[in-house]
Amino acid sequence: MTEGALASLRILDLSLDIAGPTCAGMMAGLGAEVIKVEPPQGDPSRKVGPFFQDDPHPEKSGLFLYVNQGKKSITLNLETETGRDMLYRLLPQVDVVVESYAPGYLAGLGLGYPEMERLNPGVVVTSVTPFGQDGPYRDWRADELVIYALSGHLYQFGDPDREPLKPGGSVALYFAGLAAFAATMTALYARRLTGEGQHIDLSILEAVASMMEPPLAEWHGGNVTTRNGNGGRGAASGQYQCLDGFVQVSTTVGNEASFQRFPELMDIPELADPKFATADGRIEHREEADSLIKPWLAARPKFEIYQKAQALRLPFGFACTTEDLVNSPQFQARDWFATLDHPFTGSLLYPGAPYKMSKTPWMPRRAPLLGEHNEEIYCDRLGLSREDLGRLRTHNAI
Amino acid sequence: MSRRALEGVRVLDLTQIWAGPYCCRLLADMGAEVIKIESARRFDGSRNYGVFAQGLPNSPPWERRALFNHKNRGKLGITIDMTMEKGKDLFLRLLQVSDIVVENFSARVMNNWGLDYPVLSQHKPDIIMISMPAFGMTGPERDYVGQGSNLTPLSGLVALTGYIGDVPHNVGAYTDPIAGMTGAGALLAALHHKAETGEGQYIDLAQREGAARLIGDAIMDYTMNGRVWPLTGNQHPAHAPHGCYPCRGEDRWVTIAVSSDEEWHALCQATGHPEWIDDPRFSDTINRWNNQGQLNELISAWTADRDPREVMELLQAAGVPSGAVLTVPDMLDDPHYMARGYINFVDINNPEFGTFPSLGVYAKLSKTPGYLTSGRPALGEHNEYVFGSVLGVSAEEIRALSAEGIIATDPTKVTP
Repeated sequence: MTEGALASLRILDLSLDIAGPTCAGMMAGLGAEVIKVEPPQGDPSRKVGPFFQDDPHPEKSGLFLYVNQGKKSITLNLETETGRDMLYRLLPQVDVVVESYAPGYLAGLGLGYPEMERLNPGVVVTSVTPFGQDGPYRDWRADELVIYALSGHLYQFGDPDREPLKPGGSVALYFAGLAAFAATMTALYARRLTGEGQHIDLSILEAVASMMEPPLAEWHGGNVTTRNGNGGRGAASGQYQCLDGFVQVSTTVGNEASFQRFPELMDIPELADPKFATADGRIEHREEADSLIKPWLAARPKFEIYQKAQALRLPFGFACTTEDLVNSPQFQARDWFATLDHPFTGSLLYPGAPYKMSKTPWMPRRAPLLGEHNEEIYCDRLGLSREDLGRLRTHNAI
Repeated sequence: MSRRALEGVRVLDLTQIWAGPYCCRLLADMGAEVIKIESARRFDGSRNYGVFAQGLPNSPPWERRALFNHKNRGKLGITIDMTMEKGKDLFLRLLQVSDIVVENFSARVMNNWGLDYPVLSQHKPDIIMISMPAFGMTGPERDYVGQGSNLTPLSGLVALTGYIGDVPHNVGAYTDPIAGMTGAGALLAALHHKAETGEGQYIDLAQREGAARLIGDAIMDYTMNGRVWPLTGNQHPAHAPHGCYPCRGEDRWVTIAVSSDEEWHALCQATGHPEWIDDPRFSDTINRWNNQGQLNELISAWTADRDPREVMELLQAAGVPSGAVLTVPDMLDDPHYMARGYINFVDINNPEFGTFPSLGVYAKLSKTPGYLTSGRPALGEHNEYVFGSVLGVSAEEIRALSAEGIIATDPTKVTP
């Protein structure tokens, strides 16, 4: 049987919500054994929608089901001595701990990096928090919107005459999870040479700010950039209404001449007028350019416009809805979506692999039920008896 | 300086524009030796567009683009004309002493050069190679053209972004850094597998697919419930107040993101409006969400004559999530970024320029921390080091390769 790239690794995932669990979720998808340690009431993301059939049941959160695929779940109350003792017993058996508690919380329970290192000198501990483990904002609170504001992105997005606009969904938190994953793999690589684990301090803010290169570059050129409207400078560029949605009209980056294919695409000879030849010219004659292309776009469906433009090698696209993604011929041809069965939802389509590796497959497996693997981990792995497991429950440790 | 985590890993970086260069610079920040390969005839397209960095009046234009500096910091730069047989030979010799090849051309290019994975793996069986084209190496849209402006909507991000009742809003080239970070993780996973088994492999990363994973919960709502999310501006699906509020000064804003009764009560006290606690319109999270229009008006009236940083500090001190909307100069001046050493000053080895502030390393490793060593390479800046010291090519041969244009470094002296 073919194994995933990380089949040799065992991970303890103490993290909650999106960013930390995304990091551990990447490792599970690549074949590592990931033991998710949930507080007895479960990861709070079990209470966050969307829910299967809108039933707010802790085993039916689409967010939880997506982010925690392929993990095992055990419950453990870290605030009891017995609970901490169980964690101490698990620690020597793992390569990585991922955690997302407020800085200092685990240290206060005797579970900081120094204690973990003492129990397992090779362990890589990845802490994923909004602002990192030190600095003046260390103890501040943040969600996605606050991260976007302080990372400089928010000021760049939206209409110039309206309030800054957040990108939809939780893209920044997922991105921080990818950064935490890359950092963790980096530390695991170093371990081969040094024989030592280490502590990774991943600030979601800093990971997200690392995408701010273009506005910072503009600043080096003497510009303070701000919101420039919808999808590009100038006319005949951006999101336009079409028959069944919105299409992205674009010229090729760094290639002004690509606009010369617009007249052919839309069969509008007037667009070949030299006054539209440059981006500056199209900005100057914005209304005229827009009035020429808008009726053509509005009369056609998005997929047809996309295909026709691409046939002329123009980088058009359309605002793909989640429905469009599921129905995309490209995604279907690449067999991207995965079908997974789950005891509470039955069979569902899930977003697929982040990439295709030729020798080590991505391994889609369903998310665990709360505490589903208590017996396997506590009894089979740690050697507790079934009676012990009962006692742990009595002590509110699991 | 301490040893960095990826020292000893050699990466051949054939990429251009943003996604690939960002991927490789993430590895360079952590110590990998990244050799950026361009040619005088066909150099990285991002040397060709975008704003010029100030302070380089005497440098040629292809060395002055500000964005290029950021995406390519810490790399070695060489030139090889891959369309010429001797150029290919030189590349294959480099391949022998390298661990990773990264490319983000459109799907046909490496194959056209006769340098796709089957060929490379014949020459070096344990090589790890990643291709990161827009749509992937297979499928009916394989050869479509992709760049940030169309890939971000095609990945599903744009259809979720916009003011309520407005059109979807394109936030620009988000798919580039997403693909770069995704690719860096993929390469590190492949390195792990190679260290365990001795086996290299090929990675096909479709930028569109990688980015679509970052809206996974929205996709799940469609596959579970058939629901397509509407545009919701800065609203949170369950909590209020949650938005971006005007402050004193021109175009100054602050975000506030309340997620519990506890935080709401703290906000009411901190703003000096304890009466809001007892207001039946805002009594619980459901009432606050349903009446958030009125709530936002009250909060905007309170923020309007305050400084964004003042609002943020006051609210955070009370335990309420809040963040000032920072401009680039604000970020370079921010006490938290400064205290954590996130803004780094990098020397680009150009006496005209000196140092420039650059964003820091994306994660802090306690024992083998990443750090920045140098700015971007000039075109072919490290030809002598790489061909001479790494490959052991004689000085004479280097001169000959140079004379034949195979490792030319001056774009004005080659035929396009």
